[in-house]
Amino acid sequence: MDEQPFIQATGLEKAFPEADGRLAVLRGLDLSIEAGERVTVLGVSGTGKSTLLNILGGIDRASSGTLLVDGRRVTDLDDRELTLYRREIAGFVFQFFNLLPSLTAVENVMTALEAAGDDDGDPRGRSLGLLEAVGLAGKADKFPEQLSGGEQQRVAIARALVKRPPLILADEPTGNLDPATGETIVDLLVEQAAATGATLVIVTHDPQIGRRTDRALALRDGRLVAS
Amino acid sequence: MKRAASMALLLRRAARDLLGLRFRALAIVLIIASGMAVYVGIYSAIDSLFGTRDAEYRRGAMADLEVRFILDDQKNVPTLEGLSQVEAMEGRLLLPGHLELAGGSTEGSGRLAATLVGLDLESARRINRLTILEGEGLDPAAPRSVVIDRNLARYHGVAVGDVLHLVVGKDHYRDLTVRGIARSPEYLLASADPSILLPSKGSMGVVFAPLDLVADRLGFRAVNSMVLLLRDPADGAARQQIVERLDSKLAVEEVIPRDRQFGYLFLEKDLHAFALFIPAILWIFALTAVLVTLFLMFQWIVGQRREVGVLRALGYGRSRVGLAYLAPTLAFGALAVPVGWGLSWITLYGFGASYAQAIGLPAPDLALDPVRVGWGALGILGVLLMAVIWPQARLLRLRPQEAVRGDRGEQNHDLGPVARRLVSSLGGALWLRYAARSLLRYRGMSAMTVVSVAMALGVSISYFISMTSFKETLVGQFEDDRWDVAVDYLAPVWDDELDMFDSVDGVTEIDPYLRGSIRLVAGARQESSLATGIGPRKSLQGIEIVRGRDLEPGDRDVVLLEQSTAAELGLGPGDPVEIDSRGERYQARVAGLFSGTLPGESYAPLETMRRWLELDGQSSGAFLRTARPPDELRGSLYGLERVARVTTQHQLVEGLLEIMDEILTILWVTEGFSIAVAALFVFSSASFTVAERAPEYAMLRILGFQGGQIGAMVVAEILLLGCVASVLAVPLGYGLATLLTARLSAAWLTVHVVTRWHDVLIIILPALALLPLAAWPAIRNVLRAELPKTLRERRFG
Repeated sequence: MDEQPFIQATGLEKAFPEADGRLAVLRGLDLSIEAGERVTVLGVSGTGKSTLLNILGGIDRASSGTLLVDGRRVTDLDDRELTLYRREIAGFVFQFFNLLPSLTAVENVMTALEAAGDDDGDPRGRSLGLLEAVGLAGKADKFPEQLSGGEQQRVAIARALVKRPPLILADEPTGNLDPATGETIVDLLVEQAAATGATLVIVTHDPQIGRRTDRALALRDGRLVAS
Repeated sequence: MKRAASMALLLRRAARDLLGLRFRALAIVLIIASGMAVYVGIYSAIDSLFGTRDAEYRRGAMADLEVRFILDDQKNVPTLEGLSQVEAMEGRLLLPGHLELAGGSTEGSGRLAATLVGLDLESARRINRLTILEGEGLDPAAPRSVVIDRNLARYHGVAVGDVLHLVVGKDHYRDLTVRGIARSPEYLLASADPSILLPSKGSMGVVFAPLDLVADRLGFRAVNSMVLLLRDPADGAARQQIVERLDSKLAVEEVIPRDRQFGYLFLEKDLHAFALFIPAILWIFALTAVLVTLFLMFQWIVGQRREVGVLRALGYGRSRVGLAYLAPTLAFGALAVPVGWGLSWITLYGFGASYAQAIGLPAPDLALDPVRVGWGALGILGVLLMAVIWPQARLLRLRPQEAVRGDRGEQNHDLGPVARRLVSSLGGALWLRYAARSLLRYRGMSAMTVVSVAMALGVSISYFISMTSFKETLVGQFEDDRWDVAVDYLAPVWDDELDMFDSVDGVTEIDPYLRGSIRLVAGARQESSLATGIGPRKSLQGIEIVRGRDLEPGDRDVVLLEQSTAAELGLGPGDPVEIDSRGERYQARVAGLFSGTLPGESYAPLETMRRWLELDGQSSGAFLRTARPPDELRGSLYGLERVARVTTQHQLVEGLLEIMDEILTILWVTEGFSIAVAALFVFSSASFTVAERAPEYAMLRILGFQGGQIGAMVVAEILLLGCVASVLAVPLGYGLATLLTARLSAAWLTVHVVTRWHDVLIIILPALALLPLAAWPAIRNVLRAELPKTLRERRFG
């Protein structure tokens, strides 16, 4: 029996309306990623990396094509099902961290559990454990404005991992950090994904990151090619 | 030319930006328009009500002066020849009595207090002319045909062609045919009891008949009232001359200038009391409008910061950029004025028609006063200018590079050390913490919203508290009185005749009183007064003394004056006052001043009053205490030969409450406005803060929060704001009510502030239920937003 890849995208297309027609960003993109694989998608600005990541994470919809993730046909899900998909399957790490400024570090991590309704087994304890794992044991009660960029990104990683999602999606996770911190963050992401067995997809313009993952792909003219 | 073209470009740009505000622009327009509507609508309604009264007076040639005297032959009335101030005069006969109505329309007794007005039809009637609404006017050839006042038809179903049974004294007129139904300027408002300034719709039937109806029984043409039209009604000396001339041949009892006539006086007092309340709500509206407009304009202009910086860098001067933003702002005014004008009609009719209905005034001619519309429009302009100039000046002061880079003037929503400590202590569910802490992050905005909502709700609360206080003060005045029933006699009754009450089962206590008209003289100043002589201490009548002292046993030649009358005469406790009665002057002293609804009222010891009215051993009525429900005694009391009118305290209180309840309609309008203003403010605030935090909500959606959960977070914020505002609104409303009732006490009668939770909850509960609805557009926008696009806004983290 052939085992289904964890992510299987076939002929994915995405176009945005523009004043003089439609701008096609993804043009029949095919992608296959195995469970637990760590993949980097490289590309210069404007090639559609984030769009691809958004479609993989159920944040955006493809104009056409098929996307199967963990056996779910994501391209056919309605809004409510997409919400459940994001809640159960995907964990996100963004370039600008996107932490909620009104909540402390640990509370930001807990939001992911709260959304999933997963409050069994001491959500605060689980969140604190993950903060410790990302090296922020002493800063759990700090607000985002009291943390450095690197620390904020660690909190974001903890938030992405806390609900143990099978898929972690990171959009330019080092784009807003200095090179040294960026390196640490990527290492952390890769380590944590490996520790939980999650599939990791990072999109970035930085070729250095590609070297730290199992595979690197490049996005050119709306299609993926081997890097 | 080039400059004009570039200005046009700037104007177009600013106008487009402004249109982009959409709902927030609508909120600004609605709030300032509502302020205008309250000002223009309610003041115009008051003007229209006064105008309706005055037009009725002109149409019916309402008497400038009425002089009442002891019944006399018309032949004995002096002609007043030589008094150039007199334009016209007519004699008439006023007799109290009652109507025997079939069908029990008057609380079971079938009797209705009535006044028979005998008119001289021999000469053309010029004063207090009747406007025939149905049927025909009086006919000298048909003395047993009468015309009735419209309220008798309206509230008791009497129609043209009906036959009335009128009892006046011992005389029964059983076959009076109703010939017509009329409106009289004198009875625009009617009260059954002249000692109570309270229009009681349908409580008194007025029957107009030819003078000959009574003359046939008496054998002479009797009159007891002269009505006069004067060339200069304000000429006090001329009025004095007239009274003196009449007094030389008649026993003058009462002088009633038009401004002391019941209908006139009630409208003056009551509408001016309402007018006292309007400035407060106007200030609140103005302040709220300035705040909300300032806030929204500030938000808009600060949002334009970078673009303004670019324009400045391109070489556009401060004044041109400033004007470009000022001009479209004024377009708001151009929109708000017609909207305000439209809403003014709603408040005009909401107040004017409800008020007229409540007190039984004829349908008023309601119209907006163009001068007030003009002032309202100027007010809108002023609010807009105030709201736009400050943020604009702040922005234009920045150097172009500062504006572009956002070095200064950028809004910072960090928590800050103090707020951090505070929010860390907030517990509860995560979503609730998020809601509460978001409010603290936008603490300036939250504070402004709380204050504005609290002010809007506080005004309504203050009105309801004031209304309850006014109502309970009035009801309390009756409750302080220990009497259950007041009985007025047809003619003075001797003390030894009081055993007539023995035949009425249930009367336990009788306290005779003597009521009559006297004139109070203090130096050159004179005032007519309806004086009541009561038994000191043992009286069943309670009086609220505001200065000096109450009547005491053994008092002689002392008088208690209603406070406004005392003020007009320049009298205080201890001052001497002369009493002019029946052509004699008596020396008396003011014992104290009391708060009363009716100007000109006074009280004196019963024996003193008997001397002044030359009615020793007699009384004109009695307060009764009863062991049975007073209404059950009405029939028996009316059965007594000497009784003209029976008034139960219950009846008065019911009438009062009925009027108050109808006036409550006006307060509902105010509450509607208050909640609408609060909702608009919440809407503006929620639109802003939710839009600012759209990426945060997008992140929550990405984390897997459902739309309902996110909506609940926004609603929780609004409810938190609403709850804090409600808590603040209570002391605010109470404070404002205290201020308003103090002004009312100074202008009319002493009102004690009475607070009932009902008056607070009636505002707060609907507000809390409705305020979350104001957040709905913001919630909808957040839930409809495209996640990737919203995340790209990167305003947080």
